Amino acid sequence: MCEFMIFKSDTNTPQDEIHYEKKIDFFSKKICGDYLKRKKVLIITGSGISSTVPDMKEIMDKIEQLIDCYDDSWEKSDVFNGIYEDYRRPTELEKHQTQSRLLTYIQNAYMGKFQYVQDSDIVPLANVWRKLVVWLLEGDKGLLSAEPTECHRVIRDMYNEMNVISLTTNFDNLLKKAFDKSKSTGTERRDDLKSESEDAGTLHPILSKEEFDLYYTSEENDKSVIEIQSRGDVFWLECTGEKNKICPNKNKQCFIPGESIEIRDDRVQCNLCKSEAKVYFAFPGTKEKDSEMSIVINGIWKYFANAISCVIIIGNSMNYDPVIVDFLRELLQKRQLPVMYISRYDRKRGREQRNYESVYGKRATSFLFSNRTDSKGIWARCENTEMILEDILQNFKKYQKEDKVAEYNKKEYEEKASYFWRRIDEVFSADLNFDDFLIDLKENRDIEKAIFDIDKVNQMRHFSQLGLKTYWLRGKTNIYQKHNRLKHSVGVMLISSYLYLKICPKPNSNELTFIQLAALFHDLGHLPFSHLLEDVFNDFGWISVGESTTFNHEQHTRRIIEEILENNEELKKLMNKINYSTSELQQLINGEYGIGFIDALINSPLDCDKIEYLFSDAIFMNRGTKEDFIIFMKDYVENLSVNENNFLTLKRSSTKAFLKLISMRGEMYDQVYLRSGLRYLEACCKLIIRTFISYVCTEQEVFLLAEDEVRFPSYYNLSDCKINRVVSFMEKCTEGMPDDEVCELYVLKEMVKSIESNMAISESIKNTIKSCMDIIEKTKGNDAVNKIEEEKVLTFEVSHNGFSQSTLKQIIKNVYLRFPGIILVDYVESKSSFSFGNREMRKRRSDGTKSATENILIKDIKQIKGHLDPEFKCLGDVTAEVNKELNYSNHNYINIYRISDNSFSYMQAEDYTIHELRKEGIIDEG
Amino acid sequence: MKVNMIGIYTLYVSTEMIDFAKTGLYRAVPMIVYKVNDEKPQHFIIKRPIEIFKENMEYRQIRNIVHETADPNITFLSIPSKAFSKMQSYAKQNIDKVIADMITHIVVKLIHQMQSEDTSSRNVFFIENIDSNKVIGRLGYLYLDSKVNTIAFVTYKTGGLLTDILNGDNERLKFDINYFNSQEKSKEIHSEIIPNDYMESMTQTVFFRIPDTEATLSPLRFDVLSQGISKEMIREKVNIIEDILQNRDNLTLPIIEKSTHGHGVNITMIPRVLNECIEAAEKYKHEAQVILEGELYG
Repeated sequence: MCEFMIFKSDTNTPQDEIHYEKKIDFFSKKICGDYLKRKKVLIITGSGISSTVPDMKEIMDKIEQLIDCYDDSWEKSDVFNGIYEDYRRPTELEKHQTQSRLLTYIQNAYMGKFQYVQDSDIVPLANVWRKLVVWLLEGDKGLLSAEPTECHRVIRDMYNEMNVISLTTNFDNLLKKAFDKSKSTGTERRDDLKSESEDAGTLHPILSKEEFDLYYTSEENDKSVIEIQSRGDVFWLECTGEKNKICPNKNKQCFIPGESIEIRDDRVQCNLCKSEAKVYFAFPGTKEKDSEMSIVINGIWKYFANAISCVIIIGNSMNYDPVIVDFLRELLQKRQLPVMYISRYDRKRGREQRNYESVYGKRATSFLFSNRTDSKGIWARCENTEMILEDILQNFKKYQKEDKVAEYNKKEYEEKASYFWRRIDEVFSADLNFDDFLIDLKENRDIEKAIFDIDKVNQMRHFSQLGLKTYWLRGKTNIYQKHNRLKHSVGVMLISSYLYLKICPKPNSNELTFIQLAALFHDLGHLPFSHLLEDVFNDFGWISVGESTTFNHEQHTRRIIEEILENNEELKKLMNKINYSTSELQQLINGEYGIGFIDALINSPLDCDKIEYLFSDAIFMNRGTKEDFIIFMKDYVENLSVNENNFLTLKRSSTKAFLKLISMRGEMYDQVYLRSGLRYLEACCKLIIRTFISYVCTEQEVFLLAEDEVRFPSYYNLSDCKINRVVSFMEKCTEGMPDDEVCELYVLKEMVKSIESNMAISESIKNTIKSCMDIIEKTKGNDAVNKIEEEKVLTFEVSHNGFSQSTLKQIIKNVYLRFPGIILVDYVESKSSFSFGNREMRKRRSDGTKSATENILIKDIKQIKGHLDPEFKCLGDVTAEVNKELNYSNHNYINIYRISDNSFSYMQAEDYTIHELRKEGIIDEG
Repeated sequence: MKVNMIGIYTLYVSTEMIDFAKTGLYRAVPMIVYKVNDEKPQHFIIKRPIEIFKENMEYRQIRNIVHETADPNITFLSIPSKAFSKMQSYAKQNIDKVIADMITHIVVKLIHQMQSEDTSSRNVFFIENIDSNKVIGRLGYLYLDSKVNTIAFVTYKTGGLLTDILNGDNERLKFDINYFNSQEKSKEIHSEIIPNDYMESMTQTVFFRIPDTEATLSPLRFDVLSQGISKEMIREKVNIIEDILQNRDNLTLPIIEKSTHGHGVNITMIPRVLNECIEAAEKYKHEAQVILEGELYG
């Protein structure tokens, strides 16, 4: 028996039955578990569920009949005859193409696009289409009077019981009818289903980007639900406006059936102005259909793709919808979701006729079952497909009763929130004894003790939050040591716990622990020098197998989490207890968990990470106080909420607080993060690190690693081995470090020692590196940094004329290699590009979409008294507005750093660099 | 002053089309053969082939490998010859990277070895030219001591000489190999540095005329690593190479290369250390074949 195929039939063998129940059970349990986590089920439907309306074959038969029976007055043109003949005798490959060509030709005649139709065909074909439309609307299986099928009813019930979104390729609107019907006749629903029809919301068909935006940017949705209709197969109406030129339906594509038209004397007319209405649709295989489908799919990626817990496909062969196939393929690659493909089997063709090849063998569906890591694709077959949905629904309800998660009551979560608030207050205090604080924290039962007892977590205390910047600016070792990544992560954990309890509509302890884990673990992958080291990896272009970007701390965090959760029994137990998986934890850390407000707390442009580090950095850099933070938090929480789509919404004081945070970030960029004197010192660090790494990677050990098939199952260059070698050095170095050492300085000294003892390296570079180390170690305080800026840094504003980033990168590399230890070039991006946490530029997906995920809604950016914004917008769509509000200009800079003391060499190198930058138009003349 | 001569030759063996069609795998084993002065040639090999593609590899992984968003359905993989050429070209980039890493490993290892024996010695590396910038970049990041080490990429095959690459249908270059050949062959002048702005390039091209006796030998081309050094220092390096090659004992018997244009044959001589590596490579190549085949059918 095929592992992924299940069969529901009265002729099932007991073995079949067990197999069926096991799979349905697994699927329903998964849906139930994810329902408690606020996740959604995506149901993709096709014409197979709408037996009460004509399907494509019936439509084509009718067209053929209308053409063949047309009276003799029609002298068919040769062009039409050619098209029609091709359609009637297509090869298997050309089937959709010829069908589409015929339909387009007929529709062009009807829509008045006469330039594409032969004169003799115009009138007859327009008549054929008119008759077809009337038949389609009012015929035996007319759309206007069609009743929803049993399948629509079950899907409606699923909507009412679980979080479901349907994506349909049907034009019949029967699901909406099923909803309307249950609202108007509360008794219509079957008794065995819980009757909540009075409470059930309205179903809105979503057909365009605008409707998507409207639905998802609403603060409240009045419990309404949506069905996403792919534009292609949907009927459209356009009022010609011949009787009323200002008819609202004129030139507007209206969704039918039934809502905008009426039929009088076999004539379709607009129900507002009674003018003739034209009805048309886009058919499978046309470019128009695919491109418009992509727009709809874009909305799914933007608003809820990450929230999908599983996919059910029913009544859809997937043959005609390549965009949906590509979307699913992308989705399943990104997240290993279970999929159930439900199709009908024909009893007449025999019980054993399972037609394996029809699903597994074809490209459109084979990916659902093959190449999935844990066989999550299920192919379910039944004569009445809705029975399988019914079974899933019943099982879901059974598990829902069993698996209830205890939600906090109001008093409980208010108490807990105030506990976290007190802790946050303490953590920002300058005289905090962090060790005692941690001991106290472990005593609290709302934080699982196990999460602190992990070596990797405790090692974070070695790594400074700001690298050596604190050391250079404040010059005091004790401050440096207090401002570490462990303290930061604990701060993020406390802030996110507090905000979660404050804003979550129904908080529960499992979700709280899950958020705390993500908050505490989010920075585990930082090594000494953190982003500086990542820049070096980026310069070298080292990409690990399976990754699309060069090595960074996110990738390392992922690996460490995998390792911890595999080896730490306590943590494993905890994860089982709260019912979250390792991949869910990683998704949340990456901001791709799917539940908007939870992602927003952990990884978003205004996540708790940014809140903590900005205030913490400001306090440690002597640029802010604890009180600033308290005021910020009070304002921020005041108008912060979570809407029905689980998006975080900000208005009035919360928006004001957000702008304050971004503006504060800008100041920190100017004064600390992008300050040229500090970047000079970092460039010196990079010179040392890069030289050291270059040598470490020539060691025999790297090549031996390549032979280790267990550690590196895939190997096509040495990037992974080299990364591993560098990471091991860093980890080993910090493990053996004395407690009173400044971690980054210690690591640098170890590197310099190794460089100095290396006989292959040129003496002049050794001297340069020694003097770099000197300046790194001796720079302490603001004045010293100022001095560097005056004496060793030249800054040029980057031209606005546009240039290629790769050319700039090449020049920087050339200068680095050709003037060793003499000069360094640094590109500094404008703070406006960082103001929202640089939104990742996404590659176009194979389904034609390209969009970032949104989970935060905001309004009132422009706060003029009495004139607040009426509408919410997605945060990602207001970047320009915020930059304008904060007066952030888009200026980028090139810094040239003088490293060598030799004036002649430096002048030569500087001339060359400036000449090259000007030649490429990167900086302006003069 | 002792001058160490080091020859380095690189090669790789890889899956043939027929193996790829059978297994769905493209594999390659890169190897380095090197020799120091009069010592026996040695080889360096990673005992596991580079593996570029295997069936059932994750879609995302393949896409990362082929970097092809225009063909997201990777339909080309269903046609073995197309898949093979795609994998082969991607594999070549990776093989170049691994070979570059192997060369830097050997260079650094040998420098340490030779410097620890005699700190006053000088090292001249003759590396058979490989058409990849990777190795120059990697050597650049090492900031090797240029006073002690001279690294020369040797080109002796007609196809690799400047004439054939740049002359084409265009006007003759003033400093190409023909120009160099047509100059009066003074016995004192054996080499010519092709002028360029040394700051523009990490290497400096030098043509070298073999001090011939009877037969007319083709010149050699050396691309000398010239990172951060002045023109005078480049001349010094060229002089060191010239001094070595003036001594006929340091050169081999003529290498005969069939001219690509069918105008007879080109005969030249190359540094002996390098030639012995090339000859020894045939022997070691077998080992690479065993690793490759062992992986394929073992």
